[in-house]
Amino acid sequence: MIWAKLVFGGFGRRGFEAIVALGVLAVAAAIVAGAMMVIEGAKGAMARAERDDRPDIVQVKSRFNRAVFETPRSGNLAPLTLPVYEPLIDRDKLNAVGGTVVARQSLLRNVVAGESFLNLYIFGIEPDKETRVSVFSVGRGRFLRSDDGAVAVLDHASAQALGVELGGSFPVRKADGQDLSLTVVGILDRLELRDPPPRTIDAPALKPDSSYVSSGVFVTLRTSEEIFGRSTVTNALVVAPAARDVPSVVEGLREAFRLEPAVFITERYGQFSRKVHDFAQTLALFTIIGAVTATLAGLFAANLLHDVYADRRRQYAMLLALGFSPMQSAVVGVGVGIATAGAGAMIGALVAAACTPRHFAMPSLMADLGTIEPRFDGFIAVVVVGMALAAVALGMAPTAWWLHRRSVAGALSEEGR
Amino acid sequence: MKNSSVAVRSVTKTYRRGQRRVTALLNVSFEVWQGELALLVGPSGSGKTTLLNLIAALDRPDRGEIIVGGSEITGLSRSAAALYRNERVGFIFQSYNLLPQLTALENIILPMLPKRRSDRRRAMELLGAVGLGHRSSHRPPELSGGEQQRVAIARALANDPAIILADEPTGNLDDDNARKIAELLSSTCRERGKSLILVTHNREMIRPVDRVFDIRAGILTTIESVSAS
Repeated sequence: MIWAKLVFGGFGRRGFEAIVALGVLAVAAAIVAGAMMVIEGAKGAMARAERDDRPDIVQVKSRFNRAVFETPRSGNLAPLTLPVYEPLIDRDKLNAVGGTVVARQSLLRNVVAGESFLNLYIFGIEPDKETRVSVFSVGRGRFLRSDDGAVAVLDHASAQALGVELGGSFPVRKADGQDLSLTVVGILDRLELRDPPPRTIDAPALKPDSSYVSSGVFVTLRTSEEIFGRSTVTNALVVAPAARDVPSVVEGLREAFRLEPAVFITERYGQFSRKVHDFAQTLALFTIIGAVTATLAGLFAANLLHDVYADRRRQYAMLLALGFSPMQSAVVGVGVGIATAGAGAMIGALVAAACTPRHFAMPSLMADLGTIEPRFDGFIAVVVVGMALAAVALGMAPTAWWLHRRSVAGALSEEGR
Repeated sequence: MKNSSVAVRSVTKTYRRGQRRVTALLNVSFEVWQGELALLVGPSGSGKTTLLNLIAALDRPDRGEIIVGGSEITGLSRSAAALYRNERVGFIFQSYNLLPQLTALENIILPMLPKRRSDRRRAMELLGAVGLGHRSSHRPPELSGGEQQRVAIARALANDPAIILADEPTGNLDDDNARKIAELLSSTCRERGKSLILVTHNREMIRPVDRVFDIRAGILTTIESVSAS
């Protein structure tokens, strides 16, 4: 009880200044914590956008095959397999550029069943590489293996349209006019193909409103080559070693395919980096607001605390005279500072956590990076508490130095301001 | 045979006042025996308080040595000096120096805290001994000057020190209260066998005393032994 009175008692009118200092620290902590929560949330949004957008991926595709649109909508035609893209891309040229090449053959199988058509997308993929860029959620059975032969994995929409189950099979007409029977080894619950081809024809879809292909049959690239009769790929993704390497990868690809105008190279890195740049500038504004607030409010609080401590110099000298060690006297002094800083930081952090919106979107181009979800973490807690403690240390320092420079007798005989 | 309680040997202390140095004490030597009541008299600014501060290790001399209970104290670190003050010295200030946020009882307990003691019973006994048992829960602003000085005397005795140092303890009091406080201090120290070194202008303040040291302009001019009367 006496220790508590030593630490917190006897402020007189300076008690009001201590409370004001606490309030200032709380407001500063709230602003700093709020700004940092937005910054942390924005960093999360950027990381999420980078993860989802994959600006490190460069898409290489050939011209869209218009023959697909010429498929008649009625009549009794033989089944047909067409490429979604013209197969003009030489894999050796892709591999020579560097980065990880995820090669694909995207095919469209056109089935005539009685009076109706069934259009089905077939993708020849490299299972190990494709799973690093696309999402395949296997509901039943298993996913493809690189050494698989005439087997297929398809999503449940395509399976239902084909009328096949796990372990069942269906024929695909090859380029040589023979049918290849594919055995279903896995059925997908969910499918998110990275950079899928546009959906230009009525076909099974997991996302009915999507303008991109969201359903299909997946076979190994070797099997699709057998179906299509060619080794050239229809499209490919080149994963750069790092996002910042994309410009050099794109330059290499453009150089490699400069004589093939039907090959298109698309990258998202340029737009992504512009968005990130705008985003970073906006965040810098928040950072400046936080830093200026922390500095000004911290200095104001430190000045108030300086008055509080200066007013108690005689008390600290008295404790030293009575035999309190310098450490024990310091504890009495630091105690009130820690309490003020701790309470201010905690109130501010709670206010920030309670009042900051759960999520919000940035304007214009930056909105593409997704919503920002402000979040409070350990780093913010450390910064807010550190700011409050720094203010206390700044407020205490003159008194500590004043006591250090004087003998106890000298400190007792001076008024101390 | 008398045991030395405090031995001051060739102590010199100077202060810096702006650009010039002021000599507060010059080559002062004397000795106070255990259980002795000594007066330190002299005009204002003669160096009495400085000498008391040096004995209490509240300050350090420029030269010379001070031996208390057989130990040299001028070279003590800040922490060791604090321990020395806490265990061996009771200091009574002219301006009482009680902490206003604490009650009279808590002010007496205060010197016990550095050693993590809080002997409330002993504090009550001391408060009773100075005649303030009924005012234990009053805070200093609620006490008169005489009462505050009584609390300060009780506080000085809290850790049962061998030496009591009193710096003009009656300086802020009226004559009647000054006489009562002087009597209390004298009788308390004699009863408890404490050495008392008391700084005062008025050499008639305490009777009887054992010795009187007269300091003028920082120099110890006379040491007068007084027989009990």
